[in-house]
Amino acid sequence: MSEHHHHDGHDHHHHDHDHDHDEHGHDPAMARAQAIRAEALESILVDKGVLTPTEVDHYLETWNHRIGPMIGAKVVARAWVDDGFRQRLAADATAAVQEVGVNPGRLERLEVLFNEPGVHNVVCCTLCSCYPWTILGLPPSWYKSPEYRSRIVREPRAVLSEMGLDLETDTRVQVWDSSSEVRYLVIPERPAGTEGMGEEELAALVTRDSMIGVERLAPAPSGAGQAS
Amino acid sequence: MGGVQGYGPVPYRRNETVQVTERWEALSGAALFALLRSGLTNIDAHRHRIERLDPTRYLPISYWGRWLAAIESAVVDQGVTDVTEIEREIRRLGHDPAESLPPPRMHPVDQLESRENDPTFIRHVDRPPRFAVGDAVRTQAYAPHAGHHRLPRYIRGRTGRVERAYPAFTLPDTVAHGQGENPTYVYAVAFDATELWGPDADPNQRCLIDLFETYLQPA
Repeated sequence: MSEHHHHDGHDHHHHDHDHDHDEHGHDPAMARAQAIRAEALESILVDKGVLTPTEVDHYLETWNHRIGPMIGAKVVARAWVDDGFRQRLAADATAAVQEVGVNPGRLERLEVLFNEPGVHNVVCCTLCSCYPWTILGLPPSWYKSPEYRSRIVREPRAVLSEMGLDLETDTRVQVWDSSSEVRYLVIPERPAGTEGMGEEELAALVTRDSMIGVERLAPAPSGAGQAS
Repeated sequence: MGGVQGYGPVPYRRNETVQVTERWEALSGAALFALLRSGLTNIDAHRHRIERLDPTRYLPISYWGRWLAAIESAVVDQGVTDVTEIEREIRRLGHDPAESLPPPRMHPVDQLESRENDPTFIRHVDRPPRFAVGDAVRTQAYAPHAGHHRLPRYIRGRTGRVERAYPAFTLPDTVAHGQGENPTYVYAVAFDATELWGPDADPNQRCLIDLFETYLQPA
C-alpha cells in the first residue's frame, strides 16, 4: 500500500506529476545558502546528541515513501462501504481510523467532515499551515501559499472555481480553519458508477485534494467495477 | 493571513506529488521533531518564532526555510549552540560563511518557552466546559496579548455559534512563553460569511474555526 499503490491510485494525470517546489522559494542561490547553514546545524546537533546521525534520512524515507494520501484513502473507502464505521468516524475519528490500520501518531484529535449533496467542506490553516500529516502526508505547496491561506476564507467559491471546482449556488460552502491541534479530514462524496467496487478499488479513486476539499471525485468510467 | 487582500490565483497543480527533495528541508523537519522530543522547544514556541521573523524575511525563505530559521533560533536561545559556533562549523565543512544564509532576524520576546516541554496536547480538567454546542459566542475584539495566540484578526469581535465542542488542550498563549500548560477547552465556532465580510457576502457560506475558551464570551 505504499509507493506502488500511491502511483496506481493517484497519478492518473500525467501533467500533474510536478513535484513540490515550495511557494516563492525556488531561488537556487537562496536554496544553496539555506543548505550550507542546514549542513552546519545538522553536524552540530548530531555532535551534541540532539539529533541522531540517521534521523534526517529516516524522515526523508518516512515523508517520501511511508506517509501519504493512500492512508486517508483507506479511511474514505471504508466510510463509503460501512455505515457503522461512518458513524464511529463521526463520533471519534481518532479511534475509528485505527480500525483500518491507521496510526494517528502525533495527531491527538482527528475530526472528519462529510461532503454531501448541498454541503461542501474545505480545510485550510490561515495562521500557519496546519495539516493532518499522519493521514495525508506532507501538505502540497499551494496549501501553504499565501494566496490560498488569505483568500479561501473570504471567497471560497471563487478560489475553488479557479482550482477547477464549480459549486452550485445552493450548495453551502463551509471553510474549516485549522487554528488548534485538531486536524480535519474531508470524506468526499462517493463518485457515481462505483457501486460494484470493493474497498481497495475504491481507495485507489480517492485523491489527496478531495480529502482537503478542493476537488470532487469524477464519476467512474462506465463498466468500472463490474469485472471484479 | 485570513482575509488579507491583494493575493492572486492559488499556485495550484491538481494532486501534485509532494516530495522532500532537498536534504536541508528534511533537516528542518527532523530537527524540529528532535527538539520537540527532547523538550527543548514546543510547537507553540516554534510557531511564535516563525511569527516573529522579520516580515521581509518571512515570505522569500519559503515554508521549510521558516522552519530552519525557527530551529536555529531555538537552539541558540536554549544555549545548545551559538552563531559563532555555527559559522566555525560552516568553515570546517569547507564553505564560505558569506555564502550561507545569515542568522535569522526575529522580533525579540520577553519570555521564552521552558526547557521541559511535553509534546502532547490534550489534558483532562475537572471543571466543566463553559459553552455547549449551539451556544452563541462572541470573540474578543483585540489581540489577547502581545505574545503568541491563536485568535486570527478576521474573526475578532464577531459573533458565531459553537458547532463542535472539544476537550481541553494546552494553551498556546502560555506554553509558548514558559508560563505553564493552562489546559483550556477548544470549540469549533461557526461564523456566517456575512458576519465576517459584510452584508454583501455569500449568505450560503460559513467559516468554522477552532477557538480556545479564553477568547470567547457568551453572546
